[in-house]
Amino acid sequence: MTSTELVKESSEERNLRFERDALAFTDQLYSAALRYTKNPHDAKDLVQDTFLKAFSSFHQFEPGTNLKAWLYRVLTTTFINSYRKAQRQPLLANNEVEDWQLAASASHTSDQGKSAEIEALERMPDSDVKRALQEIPEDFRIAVYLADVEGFSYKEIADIAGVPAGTVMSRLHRGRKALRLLLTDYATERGYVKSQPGNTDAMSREVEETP
Amino acid sequence: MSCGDKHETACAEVLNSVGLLIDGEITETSLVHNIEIHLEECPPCKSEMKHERHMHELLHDVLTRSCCEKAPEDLHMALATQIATLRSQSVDFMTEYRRTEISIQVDEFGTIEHHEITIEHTQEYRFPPEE
Repeated sequence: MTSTELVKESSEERNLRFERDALAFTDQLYSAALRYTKNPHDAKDLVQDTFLKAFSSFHQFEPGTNLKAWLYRVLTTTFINSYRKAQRQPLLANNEVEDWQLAASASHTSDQGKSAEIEALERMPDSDVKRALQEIPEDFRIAVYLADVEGFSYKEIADIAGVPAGTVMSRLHRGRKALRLLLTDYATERGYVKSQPGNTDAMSREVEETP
Repeated sequence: MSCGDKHETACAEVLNSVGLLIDGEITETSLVHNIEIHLEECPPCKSEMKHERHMHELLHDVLTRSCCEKAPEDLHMALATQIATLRSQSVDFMTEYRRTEISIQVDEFGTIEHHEITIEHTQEYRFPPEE
């Protein structure tokens, strides 16, 4: 049995749907825009541009699919295409490794290293967490934010950022490593945890290494 | 570095997969199974896995706790104005979707049952049509 029905939606109905469904993401998108642009002024502009673009292409959004992922794609593309250029952010090296497994030198961490990392995270004030996030390379930051704050899958992030899933994997892996290293460093500077000579050095080498 | 013991799956391979496993990105069940076997046999890897899982959760908690700014009121207001303007300018377009429902019933030999719904964006047109 096959049945087909036509569902019609007028602009007015679609506009109402936009206001009801899309605008509900304003706070979330603003928070992401702050991470992307690193300042409230640009973040506001980015969110406005995002909704402007989203509004005019909302007829292309298929109802029933993931609206949040769609909006994040508009936000991320808008950021990459305009704000990044304007801010003259250095891009990652072109030879970015797709296969992070080649870069990772897997080893067991010492118990001392483990507890220092945990303590560093547990005691870290919000301002330091945001500062650390700002310091890691932009493409890493976007990947980590989309995965660890917004809970998107690799495939969704690949779609949002317009890169292959292998690249997402690599960026996430390196981004999280860099972030953890920075947070441990901050914690050591501030005396939350005792200095861990050797351990953090080894981690930093691993993050910076680009074969 | 390895724990020094011989395993079916090498420590390095397991440690490299820990992140993917925690992210739920390993879908191949045999691979998950091999890693689980290794973890049972190898205390250093098991402890590494436990630590990574803990760090993953902590990082998630710390990040979501820190990154939850509310959009300022002036942004909410600007957006409302912006959309009101766009709405007043927008030509009224009608969007049409074709919703197709297919179901295939059981035949006398087997138990084939198939059901699918497709939503397909068909067309847009001015509404009411231009004079």
